[in-house]
Amino acid sequence: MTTIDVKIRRLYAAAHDHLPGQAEEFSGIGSDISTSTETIVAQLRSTTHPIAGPIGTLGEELVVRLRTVTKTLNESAVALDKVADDFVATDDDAAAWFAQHRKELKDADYTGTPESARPPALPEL
Amino acid sequence: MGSFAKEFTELCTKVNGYLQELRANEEAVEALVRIDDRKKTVAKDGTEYDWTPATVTFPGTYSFTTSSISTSSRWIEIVDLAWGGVEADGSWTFESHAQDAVDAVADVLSMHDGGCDYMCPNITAPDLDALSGACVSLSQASADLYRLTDAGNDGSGVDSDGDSIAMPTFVARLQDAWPATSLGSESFYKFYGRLALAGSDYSTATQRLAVTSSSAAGIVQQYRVNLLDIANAALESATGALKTWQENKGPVFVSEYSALIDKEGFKVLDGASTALGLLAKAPVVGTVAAAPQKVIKGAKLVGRLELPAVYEQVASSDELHRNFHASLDDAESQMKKALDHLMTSDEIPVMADGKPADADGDGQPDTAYQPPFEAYVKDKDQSAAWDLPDVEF
Repeated sequence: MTTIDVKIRRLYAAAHDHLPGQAEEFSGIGSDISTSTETIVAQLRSTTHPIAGPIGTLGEELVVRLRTVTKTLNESAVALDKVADDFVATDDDAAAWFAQHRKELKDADYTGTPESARPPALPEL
Repeated sequence: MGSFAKEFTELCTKVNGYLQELRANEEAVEALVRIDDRKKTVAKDGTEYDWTPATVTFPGTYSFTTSSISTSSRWIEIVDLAWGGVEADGSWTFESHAQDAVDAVADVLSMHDGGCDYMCPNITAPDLDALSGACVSLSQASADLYRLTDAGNDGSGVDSDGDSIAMPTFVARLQDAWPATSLGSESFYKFYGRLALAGSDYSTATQRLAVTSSSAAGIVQQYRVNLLDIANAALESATGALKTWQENKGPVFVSEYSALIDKEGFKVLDGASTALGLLAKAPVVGTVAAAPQKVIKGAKLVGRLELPAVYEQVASSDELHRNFHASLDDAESQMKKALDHLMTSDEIPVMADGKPADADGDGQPDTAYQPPFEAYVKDKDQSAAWDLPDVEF
């Protein structure tokens, strides 16, 4: 495997597989924290004790942070895809490799814009 | 109504039914004593009341029939008082009939249906299955965050300052592939460097959220076990007293009462030691999702048990009823104290080999200090330490 081969494969794989996969994972964790927080706050409110308040605040804060992580990973995937495309457009060796592997990239779904994960919804408290 | 609320309400309704029966017995005896008193009086015109010996049946689950009653101060023969002589149909006109007096008391008391829906809603209302599921999910989320941002699992890389950082293998490998002509590498690695640190903090915070939530749910469960113990003690005490009435064919004497009352059962869980006992069972932060349902569904009481301050020596159904309610009220206020402890106390149990340490041997877990949950949340809410840099390509 040539250096250019490794480089381009890593860039596209990161943009289309790894980063969207990570975004999906962080988003899923955020959604789980969001729905769990909703349930816990609703149930603990029926004790009439104020502990539901800070539990809701921390849960919501974590979801806000995981929304940011998801959005940043989504944007990074799109930007990295563009970095790879620009590399192919400006580097002769990269262009030659791309021409040769066009079908392979299409089959791997590495063409077009990477899919974005839906950022987790904030808990309804 | 949840299944616990239904179970508890049914139990309390049963207790109230027996307490009512006990009270009816007590008031019936008073009515019979009043009749006995009048037996000795004469009317204004000097005519003596006429009376005949009678037998009465005390109604209820622990029914009994008797012709005499022995109270703590006197022995009485049960009688029907008659006045007015013979009616046209040949019957006597009774001014007071012993059985009617006994039945009237029971009738009046049974007008209250004994329903107990309003008892301890703060303890009976939360859905513990829903809480348990949500806490398991939080614990899993914490473990997932730990895995996603932990160097040991995902390989390590180097950030823009050349420092070694935790980052996924693909990110570390990407560094070599990044085209020299493209910008963005630096801010991308800065983001991942910060994510490794902040992500580990997110994991810790999620675990603290899971521990606090499961401990809160565990506190509710502890007081539910306590409520059932209290209600069962009241049930046993009331039925014990009624059985003794049945055997004595009359009142239970004060000296007998204390042996019939399950005093231990009226004890209420102390809030602070319950919170600490549950925190001692709380899982530590780690790669594996802990099992908060163990904390939530535990049937063994973890705190100290104490009689409510207003508990009285019992000698009657009223006092038994008051003690029952005092324990239920105290359980509600102690549960609030336990939740207060969870939210605002800086005390946590010290653990040794996965168990609560008790170096001073006082039977209670040794304690250490951590920022109270409420203060911890304030510190993390919109904290700059949790900010992540934008990635600019």
